[in-house]
Amino acid sequence: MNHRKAKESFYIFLCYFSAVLATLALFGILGKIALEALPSLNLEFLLTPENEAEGFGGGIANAIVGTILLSLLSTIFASPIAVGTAIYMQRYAKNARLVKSFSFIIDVLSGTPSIVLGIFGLMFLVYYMRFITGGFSLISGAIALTILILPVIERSAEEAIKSVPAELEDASYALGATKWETISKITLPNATTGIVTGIVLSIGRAAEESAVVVLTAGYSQFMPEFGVAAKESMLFGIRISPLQNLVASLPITVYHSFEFPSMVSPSEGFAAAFVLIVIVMVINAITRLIVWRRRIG
Amino acid sequence: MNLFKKLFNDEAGVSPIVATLVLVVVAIAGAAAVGTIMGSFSSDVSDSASAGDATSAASTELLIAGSTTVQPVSELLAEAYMADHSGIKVTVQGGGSGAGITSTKLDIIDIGAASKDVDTVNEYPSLQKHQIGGSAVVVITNGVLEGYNTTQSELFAIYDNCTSGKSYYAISGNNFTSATSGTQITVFQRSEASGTEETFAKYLGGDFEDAKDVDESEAIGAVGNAGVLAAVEDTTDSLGFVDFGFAVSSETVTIVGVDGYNDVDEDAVLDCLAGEDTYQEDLTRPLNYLTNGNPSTVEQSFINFAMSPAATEYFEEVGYFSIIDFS
Amino acid sequence: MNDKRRLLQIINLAFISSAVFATFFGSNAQESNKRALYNRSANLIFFVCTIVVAFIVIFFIGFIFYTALPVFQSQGLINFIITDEWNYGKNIYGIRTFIAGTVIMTVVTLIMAVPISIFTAIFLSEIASPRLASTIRPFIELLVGIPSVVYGIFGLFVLENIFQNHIEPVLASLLGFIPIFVDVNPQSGLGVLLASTVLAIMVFPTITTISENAIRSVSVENRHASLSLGANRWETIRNVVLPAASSGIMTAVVLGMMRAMGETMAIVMLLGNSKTIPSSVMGPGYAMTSKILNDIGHHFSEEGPRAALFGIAAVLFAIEIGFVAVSRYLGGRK
Repeated sequence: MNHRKAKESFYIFLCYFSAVLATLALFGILGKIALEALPSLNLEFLLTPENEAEGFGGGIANAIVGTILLSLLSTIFASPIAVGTAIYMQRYAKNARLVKSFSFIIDVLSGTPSIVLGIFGLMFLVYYMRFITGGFSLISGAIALTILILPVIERSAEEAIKSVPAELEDASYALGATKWETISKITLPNATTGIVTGIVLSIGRAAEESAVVVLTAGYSQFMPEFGVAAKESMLFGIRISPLQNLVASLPITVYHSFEFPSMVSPSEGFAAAFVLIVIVMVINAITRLIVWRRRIG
Repeated sequence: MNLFKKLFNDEAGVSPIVATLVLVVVAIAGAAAVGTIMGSFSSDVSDSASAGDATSAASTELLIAGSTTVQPVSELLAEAYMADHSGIKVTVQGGGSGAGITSTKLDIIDIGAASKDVDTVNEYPSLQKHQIGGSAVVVITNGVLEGYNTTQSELFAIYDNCTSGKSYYAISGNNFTSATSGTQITVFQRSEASGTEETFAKYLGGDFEDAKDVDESEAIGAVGNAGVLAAVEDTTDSLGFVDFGFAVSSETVTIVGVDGYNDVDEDAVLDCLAGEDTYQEDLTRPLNYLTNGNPSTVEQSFINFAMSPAATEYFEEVGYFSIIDFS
Repeated sequence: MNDKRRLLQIINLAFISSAVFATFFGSNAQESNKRALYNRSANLIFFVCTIVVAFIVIFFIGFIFYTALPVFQSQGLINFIITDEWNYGKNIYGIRTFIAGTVIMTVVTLIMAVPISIFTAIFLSEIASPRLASTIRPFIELLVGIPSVVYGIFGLFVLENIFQNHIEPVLASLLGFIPIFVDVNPQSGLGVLLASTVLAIMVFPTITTISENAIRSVSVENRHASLSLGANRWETIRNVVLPAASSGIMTAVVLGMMRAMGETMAIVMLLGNSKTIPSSVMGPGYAMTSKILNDIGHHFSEEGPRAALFGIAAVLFAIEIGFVAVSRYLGGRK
């Protein structure tokens, strides 16, 4: 009996220990990053684009704007397609084998190593499609990231649609509503929070990706500009900025502190990392807020 | 039409037949659209008249990409150049020498950077190369091997016999050699493929030369010249190779004399780059800018700036030599 | 002349698209009411979305394997996987070392991450009060929000010194009599142990969250039955809850494993990038993902090397597709 009791206490201690260790690790990592970032983290560093700062590094405003553009644009591309697919898979497709193989495809996509997607982007988007994408560019990066976050949104949208009670829809059909009317007026409104959660999460996922972005979006020391310039090597002879232009992003700034340690100090890398974490965490907090509101509402 | 109507209203969803039909239609429409777009694109190429009026506007922007070795220099050059030439925007990006060469050839970028010699005669006839600087790779050491010299064949053996990052060495007279037992040193190399590594591999010869890198040895990888330098600095009794400028910036490492060139200082390296027999010539390499065909006015102006006396300080800041230094 | 041609082409394009549109909607609009039209177009639009996604994925997979094809043809698929030499000049490519590096690193990661993750999952679902669990859970999920490149520089600039000076010497002196715990390189903290530790932190939230869900979904009746038979809390967890949740936990482990294998940025910085099969957990190695990232830029202009690097990607992708199949099989068994 005592032996059993001892065993129980031991394992339960292990459980406590693991949970404490995990929580400590998180605070340790965040604390250390913040501490290392402190010397470089000031308003000037945040608000100066790299080209205006002297030498290499020195400002991350261009990267902050670039990261926001990249993640928003890819989410804008991905959301309609992913939600449309989710609706089709949940409410239209009836062939069980087709549904199964399609969800396999989505699983494969969501498990794709980012470097594989990265070199696909480099080869296909940056080189083969260069007349349209302009080589390394915001649009190349955004399209590659779109592929990356498609399954994230698709999955959460499917879950959200699945959880809409069948009774509601049945009632709608009983009143003579068509399928589209039922979906647009009953299913989607009821699934909105779930879908939005997925979309917001995917913004964060796109913002933190580095291997894909370094191979498709490149890097630029400048703030993204808006305008159209002539460029003869491209489709219709024009280049639309910022879409078809290089764009900076925070993960690449962080990577620079590793790639060029003699020119970018680790502290600057950590400062960029800190800003990136804050952005991703704010996005996650928004997700949490949406979920929480759904629970009480 | 009734077929579509029936099938699309069907609650059972789209049947495979409709799926195929829609796919076919989409494919045809897609092909037609792509054809149209490609058509308009190829007419762009064949008819350069419409592009002519555009070039003046486009040329105010310069895009440089390629070798990560040259990238920091290019960024410093770009900054200084833009300070003098308002209205011209120079964007600098990395990507690697290979990406630089391909992008220049395909006209995605204006100036490509390559930290290796580019064969513009046979391999890439459409490219024009402009040597803006040069560098010499030196072997550095920290710890027991300081003050000793070595030779190409011994270095080859040290890298070739390296297992799990360690290699045996012996000291005889003023030289160190590779050994099969005894004491060990830690050996470093570059993780990522680079011009520095390719130059060193070519110097070592044998399989390394073929492979264009020294990855086949089990030396530990570090990223970039700065990474290798830091690794050798942090590791007592270690050996590695970096560009000369990096080696002299450090107080903890010493440069190893090779093949009888035992006094490796700045003058020796510069004289060697200029063509004199003061350092192992196989360990030197050019830093090139590439343009697709003849450079445009702005491209030429930037390249001229990179080759001007005013630009030498930027090369030194990063650890290389400007072409001015040795020509 | 050119403008005229382009105009013609745009008109052409517009004509084709309107023809396609008319095929589907035009004639129908006259004979049916608006509602039915909307219904039909919605159906079509969602269907097209699905087709687009399927097309993207299939094209993507096909593109990777197609680009890699030359290297499989010249080396032979088996040869490519089981040989060691990687030589750009001789056009000889073998990736055994890289596969071994990835596999060893992944295994060590799982050995570290799985117990902690599962114990934490048990803690959150079975032991902690709901209030405590819901306080801790967001923190664990926050770990997901730390980008991998940040984990990389954290490991490199912070953990590397700690590993080199404290953890590796201690581990080597305690367990050094076992060959795999020999500190092959006391002067460097880089190696499998460091990379795997960082990876373990990265996959921890994945495994924990999914396992916790699996454990939670075990019905309360089972637990009550076990407890009423006199089993204590741990015995109930061990003999009733965990077996019932095992397929869910296995899925979690497989997903964590895939994340570890596919990780690039952190591994490039931490594994040591030495082309050797690690002989000890503290030794350096070279992962498949690192090789691709390290070399693609420099060798992009040459066709052979490019195909070889895509070959690594294809093998990695094939392994990953295999694991997706495994995880689906495990998930479906429930």
